[in-house]
Order: sequence, then structure tokens, then C-alpha cells
Amino acid sequence: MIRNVLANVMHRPATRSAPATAVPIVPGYRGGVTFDHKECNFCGACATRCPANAIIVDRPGRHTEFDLFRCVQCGACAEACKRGCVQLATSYVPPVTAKPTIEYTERPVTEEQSER
Amino acid sequence: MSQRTVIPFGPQHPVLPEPIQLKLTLEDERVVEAIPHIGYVHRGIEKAAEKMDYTQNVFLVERICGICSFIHALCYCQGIEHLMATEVPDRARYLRVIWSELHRLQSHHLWLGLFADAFGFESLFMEFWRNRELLMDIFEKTAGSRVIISTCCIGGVRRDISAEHLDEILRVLDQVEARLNTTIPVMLKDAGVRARTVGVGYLSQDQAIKMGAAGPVLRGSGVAQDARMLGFAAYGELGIEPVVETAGDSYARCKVRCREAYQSIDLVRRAVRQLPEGDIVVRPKGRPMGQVICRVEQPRGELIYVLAANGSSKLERLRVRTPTFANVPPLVAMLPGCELADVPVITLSIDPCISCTER
Amino acid sequence: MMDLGSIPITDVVEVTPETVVQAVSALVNEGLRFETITCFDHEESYELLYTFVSGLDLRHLRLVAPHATRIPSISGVCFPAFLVENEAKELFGVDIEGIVIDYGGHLLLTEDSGPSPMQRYPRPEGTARPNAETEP
Repeated sequence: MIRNVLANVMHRPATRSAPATAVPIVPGYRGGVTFDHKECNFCGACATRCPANAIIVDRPGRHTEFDLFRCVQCGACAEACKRGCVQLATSYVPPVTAKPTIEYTERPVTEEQSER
Repeated sequence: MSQRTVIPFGPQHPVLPEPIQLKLTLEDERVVEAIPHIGYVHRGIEKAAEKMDYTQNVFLVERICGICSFIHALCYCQGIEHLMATEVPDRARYLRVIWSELHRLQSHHLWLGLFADAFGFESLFMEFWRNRELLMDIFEKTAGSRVIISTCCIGGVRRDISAEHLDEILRVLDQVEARLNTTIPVMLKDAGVRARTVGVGYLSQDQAIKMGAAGPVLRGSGVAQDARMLGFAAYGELGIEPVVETAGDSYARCKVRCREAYQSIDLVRRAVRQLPEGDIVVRPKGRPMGQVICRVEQPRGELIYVLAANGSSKLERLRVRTPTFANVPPLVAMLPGCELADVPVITLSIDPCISCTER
Repeated sequence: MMDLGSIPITDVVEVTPETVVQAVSALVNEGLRFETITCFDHEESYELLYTFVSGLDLRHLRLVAPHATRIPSISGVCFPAFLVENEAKELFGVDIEGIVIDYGGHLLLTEDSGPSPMQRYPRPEGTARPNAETEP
């Protein structure tokens, strides 16, 4: 063990000195779920596949709710979405001070906007 | 006249990784009787599995335990694939072996560290856990997450491992093996470790079978049974020899796990070399129907799933029998006769994973 | 080599509450290792599947009995069964008597868990459920 101990004393620290050094981003990391509702057609596939019931999709009301802290970052929703609206971030969900539910309602397109 | 005292060992104890209570009846310093009490982390997984879709259950069962999570998912997926008559592509089978064996390696590192901690050898505990970090980094790079790797799915695996990641796995295994070569002799040859483990917690071969032991507890008592000999995933092609020791004490169980760590390194190397090309997943058609009993080998022993499906999207019954559930009666048989200071060593020598036990 | 990891449930011997202890005793004397007891809840009965392993082969005993039947414990001849029988008694309400270490319904469940959470079908009126907690 003495050889090990001496080697450890001479070696650089085994840990990163976070937060001074940033945590390296690993490609393909399954981080928090993010939604981009531009292409969303409220089909509800993500909600059906979610094992934690973290997503609620209201098709007639054009409304989605996502409970960030029920999510277990499994990626089933990202695989289910055929339009690429759901992506997994590259870092884990940061701590927050209150449990967030991310809500989105599609604004109806007015006549002037559609003419333009 | 000797005095009888009842001491509750646990559920909160510095040496126990997870909560289990052993009510020890002591006569002076000797244990006369041990009654286990569990139920501190019961989450009702079997009930939840009946309420969720059979595809969502994969994510449920892999969260039964954090240390052996992939192997729970593997057992479940194999059962469902059998019920849906799906054949998994070859590449997926080999990838499953690679991840399972890396899980086993990581679990044995974790256990070796905890076992060293059980008799106060904290620096060795830190060494093993530092070496385990190399494997956790591999999981993060190949599967996206360190603990619950979520790569097994019904019909195959969700992710492929690229050629450069395969090279990296081989390089990291060389490092892991080099570090095992310096740390395992300390565990097995140190006089203090031997004094605390040799002859402690003896379980004869006969008793191991009668008490329903599983895994290294069974193999440490001389019974050559390993569920990987059943040939699931790619173990049939890779071939497996169960690692057996005959002494039946805590030292023998420790030695079984040390040798299994080397066996896992060898299996991953062979699986990477023989990895065939091809698809990683097939989409099964239809719904599961029928009953099946599936067995795999977790780091702690034999895991059994009994699945009953009736053609609907929800399973009728999912029964999970984890190896630590099977190893608690042998623990109850091993403890009487030992001294109080040996109780943590014996309890840890069965590799208790109480989250698995209680589901 | 054939994949024997997942197999259908074959090699089943039917037993009754009167013959189960003897059948288990015979298997234990043959050198088989106890694996588990799986409980299935059906509409009029429950089914207990006792699984034993010999080498790598599995052998099963199946006991099907109406809901309120009293079943003798096998933990006298097969000690490791005591944990599983306690669990079956607690979660399914199976009336097993004579378990070597009986936790009285507190192995896994707490006082506010509600009785027999894994029962799927209602029991006939008047059948006393063992360890039944008071309904909330």
C-alpha cells in the first residue's frame, strides 16, 4: 500500500475543481427534457409513452404541461415524437427553488397574421 | 450467568448501504438469534407494473436497483421478447453482454469498497471507488447516464457503441485491470483483512442449498451454479465457467467476487472483439401473450422474473425475485454463533441490495 | 447453445393444501433449491406457484385454491420460504398458517397502507382476511 500512498500523494487531484472548472459536456448525455413547440401538432405520443406521467397534452385546447421534476430523463418522449419537438439537453436539470411545471398554449393565429 | 440483550442492528447504520434491520439477540458478545425486518424502501413495483403499459415497465424495472439496473431491464425485455416471439439481433445481444458485464464489474468494485469499509479499511474503500469512476465515465459516454443507463429496450438496445468508444472501453479495461492487480492483493492478502474474514460467517454447501442461497453466496460454498450458463444474450457463444470457492466463509465469498471481476473484464474484451455488425433493434409486433419465467445473473446472484400476460397492453402479473431476497435466509442461518463485531462483515458479505429485496 | 434464459412454465405438479408440505419436503430431500413462490389472483381462486431449481432446471408445484382456503406453511420443511409466505399473506391476503417467523402483516406494509394491495378481485362477503387493517 505504501507505493500506492506515495503515488497518490504525488498525483494531481483525482477530482475536478468544480465550479471553477466547467463540467465537460459529454455528447449523447441524457440530460433534462426540452420542448420546441414550433412543429408540435399535439398528437400526445410523448405523453402516452412517458413512464412517469410527466407530460400532459390537451389536444383540443392546444395546451401542454410538463412537470420537470417528475421526469426521469429516460428519453422515451424524444423517441416517440415524430416531429423532433422533444430533445434531451446535454446537462442535468439544475436545482430550482420551486417545483416548475412548464406550460405551453398555442396562440391562435389571427386573421391579419395569416394574411401576412 | 450470561445475559441476553436484544440489539437492533439497523436500519440506520454507518456500515449498511441500505436499510435493513436485524434484531440480534446476544448472549454477552455472541449472537444467538437474528430476525430480519425489511420494508423501509418498499415501493410497490409489482403493483405499479400491472398499472403501466408493458413498454413503460422497462423504465420501471430498471429503477428497482441502481447498481444492477441494466440487468433488471435485460431480464424483463428477454421475458417480453419470449412472449412476443421476437428474436433479438446478434449485435444487440453482444451489446447487452458488454453493458451487463460492465455493470457487474462496477458492482463488484462498489461491493469491494463497502466490504473494506465494513472492517474500517477506509483507504482501500476509497481506492476501489476511485477505480469505479473509470467505469462510470464509460457508461456516461456510451449510454448517456452513469447509474440508470436505460439502454435496454424490447427488441434490442436503444443505442449503439461506436468503434472509437469500443476502443476506449478496451483501453479503460486495461487501466481497470492494472488497478485491480494492485488493490485486490491488498484485499486478499492483508493480515488484518484475513483475520476479520477467514472462518467468519461459515455456510456449508448443504446449508447453502437448503437455505436457497444465490450468487456468490452459493458459489462461495462450493456449488457451481451461475445463471449465465443458461446461455441468454450472447453468453452461449462466449461460454461461461462459474467461479467457485469451497471454503464457505466471508473470505471465500470475497474471493469469488474478486475473481468474477477479472472474469467480467475478460468477457467484455471477448465480446468487443467478436461484436458482429448489424441492426441493434427489431420492433416486435403485437402484444405479449402467455406466461414465461426468465432468469439472468445479477452481480448478487440469480434474478428471476415471472411474467403473465393476457394479450392486453398491461401485464397481468410481474413477479420479481431478486438475489438478495434469496440471500436473507442464509444470513439468518450464518449469524448465530458469531460475535457482535462480525455482524457487519457477515451482512456485507452477502452483498445486500435492499432496494432489490423490497422492490 | 440454446437460450434457456426465458422458458415457459413447464414441469408443473399440481398439489392441494393437504399435499403441498409433503411434496415440498420430497423436493427438498432430493436436493432441490427453493427459488420463490409466485402468487396469482384470479376471480374465484388464487394460484400459488412454488418454484424449485435443480442444477439449472426448474420444477414447479402449482396450488389452486378458493380464496378463503387456509394453506399450511412450507417454512417448516423449507426455511427460506418464510419471507415469501409473509409477503404473499400481506400483499395478497392468502391465509397461510404456521409460518416459522410471522411478521403479522408488517413485513413490507405500514399501518396506513390499506389491506392486501395486490388483490385484484373482491373477496366473498364474510371471509375474514388475515392481517386486515381497518379500512380508512
